[in-house]
Amino acid sequence: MANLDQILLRLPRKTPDADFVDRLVAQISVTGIPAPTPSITHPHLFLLKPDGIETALPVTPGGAEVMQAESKLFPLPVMQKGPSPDVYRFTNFRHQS
Amino acid sequence: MEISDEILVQHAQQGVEHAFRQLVQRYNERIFNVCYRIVGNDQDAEEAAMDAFLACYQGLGSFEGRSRFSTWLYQIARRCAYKQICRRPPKSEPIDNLEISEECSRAQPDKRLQEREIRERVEQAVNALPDHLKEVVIFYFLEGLTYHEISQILECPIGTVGSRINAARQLLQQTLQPFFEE
Repeated sequence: MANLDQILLRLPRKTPDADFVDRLVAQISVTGIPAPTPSITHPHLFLLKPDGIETALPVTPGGAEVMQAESKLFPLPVMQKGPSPDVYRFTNFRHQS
Repeated sequence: MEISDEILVQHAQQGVEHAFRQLVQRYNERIFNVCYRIVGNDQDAEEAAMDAFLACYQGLGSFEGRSRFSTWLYQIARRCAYKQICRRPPKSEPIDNLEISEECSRAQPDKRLQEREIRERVEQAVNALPDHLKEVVIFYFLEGLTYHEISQILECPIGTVGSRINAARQLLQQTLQPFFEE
C-alpha cells in the first residue's frame, strides 16, 4: 500500500472551468485594465552593447521617433582630426562660432 | 518547442495580449489548484484565481525577473486566496475533530478501503491542517516545488519550510494513523 508521501504526491489537481481563460481575458477587456507597461528598471530594457555601454531603450510609445527628432535638432558633436595630428576639433556644433 | 516563460513575460510586458493569454493557459490549473486548496471550495477558488491573474496582469510591468515568473505568480495567488478567506471565512474542522468512521478506524485499509477513499481522507486531513502547514503541503507535495521556491513564495527561510513540512507530515500521519497501520 502507498505511504502518506506517495498519496500526497498523487492527490488530483483541482481544475477550473474550461472557459476560465476566456472569462479572465474578457474581464480584463471589460474592466479596462491598462496593458502592462515595462518598468525602466527591467533588465531586458538595457542592452549590453559590444563596447560595454548600456543603453536604455525608449519605453514610451513613439519614444524612438522623439529621439530621432531630437537627434536632428541637436546633433551630437563629431570629433575630427585637425591640421596637427594631436589636435582634434569638434564640428557640427549647433552654435559654432 | 515550448516558448519559455521569460520570453512570454517579455512580450506580455510589451502589451502583447496573446503572450499573457498563453501564460494564463499555462498556469491557470496550478493557480486554481493552489487557491482551491487554501480556500476550500470552487467558487472562492475561482474568485481568488481570477484576482491573482488580474493582479499579475497589472503588476507585470514591474516584474523584474529576480525570481521565476511561476514563483512570483504563486506568491500573488497565495495572497489572493487568503484575502478571499478574509472576505468569506471557510468552515473547516480542526484536525482533532476530523471524523473517521469507526468502521474505517478498525479496518485494515488495504482490505476494506479503496485507495480513492484513503485519498479523500488524506485530502480532508490536509484541508484541516493549520494554514501555515497546509500551504507547505500544497506547494511541496501537490505542486512539486522545491524548498527554495517555497521559501521565496512564503518569504521565509528554507529551514522553516523544511520544519513545517516535517510538522505537517507528522500531524497527518498521526491523524491518519488508522489508514496506514499494517
